[in-house]
Amino acid sequence: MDRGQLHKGQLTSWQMFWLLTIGTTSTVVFVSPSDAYQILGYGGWQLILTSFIISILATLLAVKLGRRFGGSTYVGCSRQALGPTLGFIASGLLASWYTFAAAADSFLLARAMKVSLLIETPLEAIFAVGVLSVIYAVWIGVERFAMFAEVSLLVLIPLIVFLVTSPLKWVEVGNLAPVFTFPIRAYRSPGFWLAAFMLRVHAFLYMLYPSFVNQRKAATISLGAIALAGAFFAVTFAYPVMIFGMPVAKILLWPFWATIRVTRFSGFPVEKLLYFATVAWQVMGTISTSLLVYCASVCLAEMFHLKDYRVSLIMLIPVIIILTVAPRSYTDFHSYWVRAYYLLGWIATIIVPAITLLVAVVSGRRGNSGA
Amino acid sequence: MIILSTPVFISPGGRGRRAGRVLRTELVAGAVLMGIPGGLRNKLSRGSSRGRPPGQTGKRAMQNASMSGKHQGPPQLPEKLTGDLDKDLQMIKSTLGRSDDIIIRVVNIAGRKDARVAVISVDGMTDRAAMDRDILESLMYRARDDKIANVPKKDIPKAVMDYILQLSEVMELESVGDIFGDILAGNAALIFDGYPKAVSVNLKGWQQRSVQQPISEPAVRGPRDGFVENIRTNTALIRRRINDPNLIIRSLKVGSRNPTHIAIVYIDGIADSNIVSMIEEKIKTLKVDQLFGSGSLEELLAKGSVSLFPKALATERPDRVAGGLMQGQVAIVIDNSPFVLVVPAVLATFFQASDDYYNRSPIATYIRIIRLIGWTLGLFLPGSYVALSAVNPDVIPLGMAIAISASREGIPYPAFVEVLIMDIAMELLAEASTRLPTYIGASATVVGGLIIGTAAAQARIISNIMIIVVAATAIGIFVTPNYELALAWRISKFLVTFLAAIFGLYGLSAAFIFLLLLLVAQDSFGVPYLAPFGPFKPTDFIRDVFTRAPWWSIISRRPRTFLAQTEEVQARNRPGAAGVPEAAGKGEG
Repeated sequence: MDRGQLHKGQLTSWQMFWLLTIGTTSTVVFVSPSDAYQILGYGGWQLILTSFIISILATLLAVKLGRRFGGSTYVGCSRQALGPTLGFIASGLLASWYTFAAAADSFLLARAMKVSLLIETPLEAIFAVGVLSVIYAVWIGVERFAMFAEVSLLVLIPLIVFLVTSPLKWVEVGNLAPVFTFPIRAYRSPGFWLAAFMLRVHAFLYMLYPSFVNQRKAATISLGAIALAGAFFAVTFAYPVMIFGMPVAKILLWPFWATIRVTRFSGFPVEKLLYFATVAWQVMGTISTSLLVYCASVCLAEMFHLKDYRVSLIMLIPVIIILTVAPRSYTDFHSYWVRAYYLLGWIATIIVPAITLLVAVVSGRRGNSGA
Repeated sequence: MIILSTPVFISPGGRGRRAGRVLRTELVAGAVLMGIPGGLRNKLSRGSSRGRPPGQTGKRAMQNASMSGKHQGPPQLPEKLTGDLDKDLQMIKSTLGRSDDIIIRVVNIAGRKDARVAVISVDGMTDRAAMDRDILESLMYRARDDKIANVPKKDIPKAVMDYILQLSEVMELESVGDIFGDILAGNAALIFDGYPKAVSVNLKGWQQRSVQQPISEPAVRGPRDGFVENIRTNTALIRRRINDPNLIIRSLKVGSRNPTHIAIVYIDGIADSNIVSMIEEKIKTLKVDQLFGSGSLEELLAKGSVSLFPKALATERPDRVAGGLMQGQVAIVIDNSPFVLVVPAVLATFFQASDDYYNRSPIATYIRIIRLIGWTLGLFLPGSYVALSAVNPDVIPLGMAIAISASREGIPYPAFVEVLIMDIAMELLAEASTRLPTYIGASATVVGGLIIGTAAAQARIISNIMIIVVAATAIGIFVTPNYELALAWRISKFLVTFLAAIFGLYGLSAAFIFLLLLLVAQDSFGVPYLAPFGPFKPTDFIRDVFTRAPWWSIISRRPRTFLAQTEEVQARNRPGAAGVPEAAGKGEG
């Protein structure tokens, strides 16, 4: 494909790489470090490593399914491998996870903005602005909002570099020392395994695989995205520990976000780093939520044989709004929603697709043009 | 419609006085027939055939028309000429000849009684001197010395074309619609007795503005010539800069009632053929009565989409068009418009000015960065002021917050209203200074900007800091080299301010996201509007977006943004390349 022109529903390797990376890292900054600290304390690095490995395996699974079924989305793969009824259920699970994840992302972003910047503004109002941009982004098509992700890199990369380097003066590398001496014992905890569903690159692949212009590079690009997202995950884990120390970091609501909130530049017109972080996370949040909503819309459209995913988008939006405004506090959200998000993620994006592939291999089923 | 009519009279004039009469006809005030192309013929045929009864004077006709309150529709138009000059003239007088500026001159060729010809033209649109010298004098006198005196009557038209009319553009026309269209376009038509075709002679020669410095795009170091209202002058200005045999100028007409000439200009082998075809196809399918300049064409070509942002670069500068053509863009030249459209146009194009390419690379880059800062200030400064002073004052240093607060002390309304009042006042001033004559416009700006602003601040209607914000915003927006894009930013600024007023810094980011999404959704003839940011083309981005790379780098490869068929250009010109001395390309661009 000529990179100079847009082709409906098609994404270049570069666009795909950034979509997957941003779609994966946007919520990591809020959720992941605190989960890692709370489950394992200094041993949280084991969670990062495990998530990284699980994500790689799941990504290879998604690529394998895509190749086997000739570049169909997961809806097509599951229908062909499991039959219409089971396929419909498997796709429905995936669509549910996308919807749930989109609501979770929206909630987190709106909540973070409320806590950091707009204490007196109703959460619903903040959320409404985000929803409007997400609806528009999904409406204009995946190739357009992929371009949005591509263009926003011009803002995101300098901002993220700025965010990561600004608090360097407070970093105490010595605070990290216990991390490396922590024994490997995490595997005994069920919570650990649940939280190991962190890097969700594979989940996007199920619906975006056919959009790859160069499908041969799908695995390479996805693994690259996992590497970058994993590295960012590691930074979000290490930074708060280095700045605040583990005892403090462990009790912080959003540890990495907290490092940004306390960073100031005395004498500059905009003194707080928080403002720049707001722009960065808002852009990233819009991209990741749009990606999730797009995947959910396409999944539902294919399940119900709709001609245009925009029809399912219209039906989906009220559901996401209800889900987003449902948790009344962050405690509610973290206690139940995050766990539900992980659990559904495991089932819908790893276990069921693995069964799908297994059934396809055993029964010898493959797509029309599947290699 | 009021129909005024005057009796047919004889007008003495120049050499024509010796040989014939100038027939002047009626004037249809308020609805002068502007043009009758071939396509309109049928429409005219379907129109009312109620002409003025023979022998009725114009005055009577006027009275009748006024009394009845009905408009006399266009008369029936035949397909072809009859070959009988009297009948043909009668038909012409009753249709085209109703306008007062139509000149019909009937003469005898070489003094032969059996060889009559009518010369029809539009007063003011043909070159009168050339008409007298090359047509009338040739037909009436010079033909006597030629072979024409003894030619049989039926062969006279061919002999006239072959021996008498020593002009470059002569052609035969058969259809009455074409003949009329030709006459109204400024040509002279010769209608012979006994010959059912007309001979058209290009004698266009009306008054026009000379080539002058472009008003909307001045350049300090660039050339001083700008486009004018004549399509041929404009294509010649382009051709003068590109002496490439592959420079194609393809002519089209748009408008069924009043056809406007359009020229699609591109370099074959460089411009993307799909884009050329797309433009041609879109223009051909336009169904309009007439075209109101380049702006209407731009909007019509982007039919179906409503956008704040310009999709075609409208420029008065031939050098800019030539540069675009060499990059693979396509130019659309429109008759009667001094603006040429260059497509596809991307956002980055509108931030570039001609001077960027006449200055040295570091200077051009510096100026572009200044423009970028200006754009950022213009778009986000009022919103930032509102967000930081009213919603998120905790983000700014305490000293600054106190300064803003002190400045706003005694101001009776919130920062957002303050910004809104000043922004609207600024818009009024900008519009006034654009519309008013230069000398009054300057006074209005001074009065509005300085006197009213200062007085408002002293009266505590607005804060002092607000004057700084508004002034910086206005200057920032006006730094954008393209007027249409500046207008788009001026409107967008209100969205940014509005969201900032409600959501503070979060609103600013949201506005940024909305604007970016709006821009991402645009394209210009299939080329994404944000190229080369997205789809990201690193080489183009580095060479000619925020920075302007040295000329030796720019000319080594065409940008990919405009989908040029070939990227290879003059690679051998690069310093250090085989056969090129190191000094080459280091001189002035």
